[in-house]
Amino acid sequence: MPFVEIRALNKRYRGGFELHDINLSIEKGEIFTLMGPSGSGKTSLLRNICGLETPDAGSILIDGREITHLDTSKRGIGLVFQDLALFPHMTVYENIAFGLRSVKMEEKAKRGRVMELAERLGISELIERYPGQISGGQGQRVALARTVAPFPSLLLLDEPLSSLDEQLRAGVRSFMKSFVKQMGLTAIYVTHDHREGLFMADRAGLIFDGTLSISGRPDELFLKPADEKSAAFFGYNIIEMDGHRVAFLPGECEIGRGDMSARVISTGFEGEMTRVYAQVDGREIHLFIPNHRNAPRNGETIKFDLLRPVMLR
Amino acid sequence: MKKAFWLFGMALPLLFVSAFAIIPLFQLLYLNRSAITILLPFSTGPSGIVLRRAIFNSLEQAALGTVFSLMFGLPLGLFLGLHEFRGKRLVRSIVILPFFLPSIVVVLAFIDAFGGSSPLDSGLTGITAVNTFFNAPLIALLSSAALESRDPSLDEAAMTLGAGRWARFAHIWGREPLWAAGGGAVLTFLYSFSGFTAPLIIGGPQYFTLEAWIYYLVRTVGDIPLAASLGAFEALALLIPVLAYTLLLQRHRVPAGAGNVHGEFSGPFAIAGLLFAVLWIVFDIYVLSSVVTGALLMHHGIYFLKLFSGTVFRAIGISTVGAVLNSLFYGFMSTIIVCAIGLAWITGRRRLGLAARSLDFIQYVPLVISAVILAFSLSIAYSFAYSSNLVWMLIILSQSVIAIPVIFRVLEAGFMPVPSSLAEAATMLGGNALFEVELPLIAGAFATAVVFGFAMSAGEFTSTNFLATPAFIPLSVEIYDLRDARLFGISNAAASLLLIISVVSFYLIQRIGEKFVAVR
Repeated sequence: MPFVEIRALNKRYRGGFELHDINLSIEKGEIFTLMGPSGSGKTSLLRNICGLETPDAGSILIDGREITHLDTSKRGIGLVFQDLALFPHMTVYENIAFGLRSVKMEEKAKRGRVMELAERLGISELIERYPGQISGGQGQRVALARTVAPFPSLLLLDEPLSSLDEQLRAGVRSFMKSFVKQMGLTAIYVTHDHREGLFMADRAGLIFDGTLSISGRPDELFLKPADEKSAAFFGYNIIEMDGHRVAFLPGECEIGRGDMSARVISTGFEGEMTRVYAQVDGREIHLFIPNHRNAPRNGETIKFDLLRPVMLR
Repeated sequence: MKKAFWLFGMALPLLFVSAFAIIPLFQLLYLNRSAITILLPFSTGPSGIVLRRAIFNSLEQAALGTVFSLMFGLPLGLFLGLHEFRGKRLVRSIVILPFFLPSIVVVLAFIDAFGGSSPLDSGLTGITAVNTFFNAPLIALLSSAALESRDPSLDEAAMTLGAGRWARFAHIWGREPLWAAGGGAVLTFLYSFSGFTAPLIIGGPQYFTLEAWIYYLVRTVGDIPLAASLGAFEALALLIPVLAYTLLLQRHRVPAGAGNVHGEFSGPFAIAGLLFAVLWIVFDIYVLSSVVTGALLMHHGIYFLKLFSGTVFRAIGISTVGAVLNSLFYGFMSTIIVCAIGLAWITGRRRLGLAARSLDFIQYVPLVISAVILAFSLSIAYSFAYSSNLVWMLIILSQSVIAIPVIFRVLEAGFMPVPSSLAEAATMLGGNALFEVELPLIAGAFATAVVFGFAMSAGEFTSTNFLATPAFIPLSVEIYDLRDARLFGISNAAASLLLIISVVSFYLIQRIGEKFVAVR
């Protein structure tokens, strides 16, 4: 029996957006990544799972227990908010200890729990500071510690790295994954960044316009995108070939030979490679060229061949 | 269940305003329905003449008050919003102080300052001077706050695109302060239209507004049906500026404490602005100090001693200590009531995710019902209060209704920068979002609201004067009653006491929550 089970969840919002017939199963100890573009319903689904919103229909079960209409604080679910939502008037210690007050533990044990988490997350030096006195990366760790402190059975992470800059993100996501795994937590990780989502996931799902389109192993999802939306989300180019829609990754083509031709719109050196924007039958595509010296000029027509074309449904 | 709880929280102000303002008003109108006709202003009888005169006076005083308040307030606001200089906080505080003072104190200060028979403290010019003295600071406050919250990068962008000084004023930074001044002008119109203290004390029947006529008709003539008719017309007339103000706020809302942009002090405009501000301040201090010096200089300050003697009790039926205790009690109770329903309303809206600005109108309903009409209709709807010695309850209720627009706005401005995710995080972690997270974070706004509530209650004169019987008179009404008993010196001493209380409250508001002062 799956640890988390969502059955036929539906929720309609003002303005017309709806979560449509969501079905999802997650095993114990698994990190499930929910990916999709902005406004696709990722956060809405999380808010329904943790009880900040109530679905119109369907049910949510954790460890076989129906929690659909249970009070938020009684679900045993922890949520790391996108903006972290650290209480600015409380110290790091008070923030982490906040959720432990409702846990039946001795005061000494509670203090021990806070200090243990702070130790594990490398923030024990910051324990007396206020959120305004720590960096963004440290804030992430405090938010994570606060969320896992009251022993949640399910951890939800709502784009927790979105406020960090690119360089810091890679380090924090690696740390976050190993921490969640070490603690043996079951987690749902939401992001619009497919690289981050794929990295974090044991299994992943894609959501578009309030509908969970597909779920599976991250490598399967990425290497064999099921449809045009999924392929576009993962950064594939999509072109027409012999009456079929074909997707290919920007780096998986050979430029300078082949039957296909494209007209170059612009090129730019990005360090590890050169990116080329071009047009094929009115569709814009982008390609990677490893060598900057061979970059084509604007307006030039180039030949290219696909190394791994993916036929779309 | 929870949704129903928050819906109830949101409905509380509506229930409160309905029970203690709207329903009593409609009851009053219903009881006098036979006397109320839409054609009354066109009637050739005495009622028609009275109504036409009252409407004309209200419109005339509102129009003059608005024009002069804009003439004085906008330049002051532009000067304060545009320039940074040493001592600016003090200058700003003195400039805006009159708006926070009780109307009875301001009117008495004018009489003391100008002797009671000069154009500045008698007739239409006197009323206009008082209305301007009272409301120009409001316009200055709102326009300077809007100016200080401007985005400097927009001005810089316009500058790099070649826009000159006037083009930038007209298209970039001048718009928001002008809109804010427009909002202040609408409020000035509203306050002056329903002006009471100045027409009553320094105007006389010839200059009575609708508000003053209603008071006179009920208290002196006993013509309840005609007073009800005037009340109906006044409520209808006030609906227009209140709606205009609500719409203006929806389009041009300046968040509390947003931005902090100041220009340097240089150039001829800055010097002219400073001179103008200095003249205003000198006038300000001269007028306000007159009430204190008047009481101090006459007979070596003996009136301050007499204020606490048996003379007061013999003249008006209550001692000064009793009046001060009444003021404190009313202030305490009305502040608790308004802050409680304000918190219920705002947290209800936040929990239910209803940020719709259309709901704002609820908090401005009390502005439509003038203070005298509010008191008059309350005294009829809850007439048992007079026979059961519960007049204090009516006074607290009327003061609470009157305080709603200001207190709600201050609380709302405090909540605005607190992200809803903090409350959600607290709820998910099993805590109490309001008491453990939101209230500590809005402590400044809450304290400001509390002091505002006290100050408004202590200075409220119009409705309290209507309702209070001798045992329930607070300090603001004591001043008027002592004057009525021709004890001018003691009345001045009482006014000085109220002035000191008001200035201390204003100082506290400035200290605790300066950024919320401009929230209106």
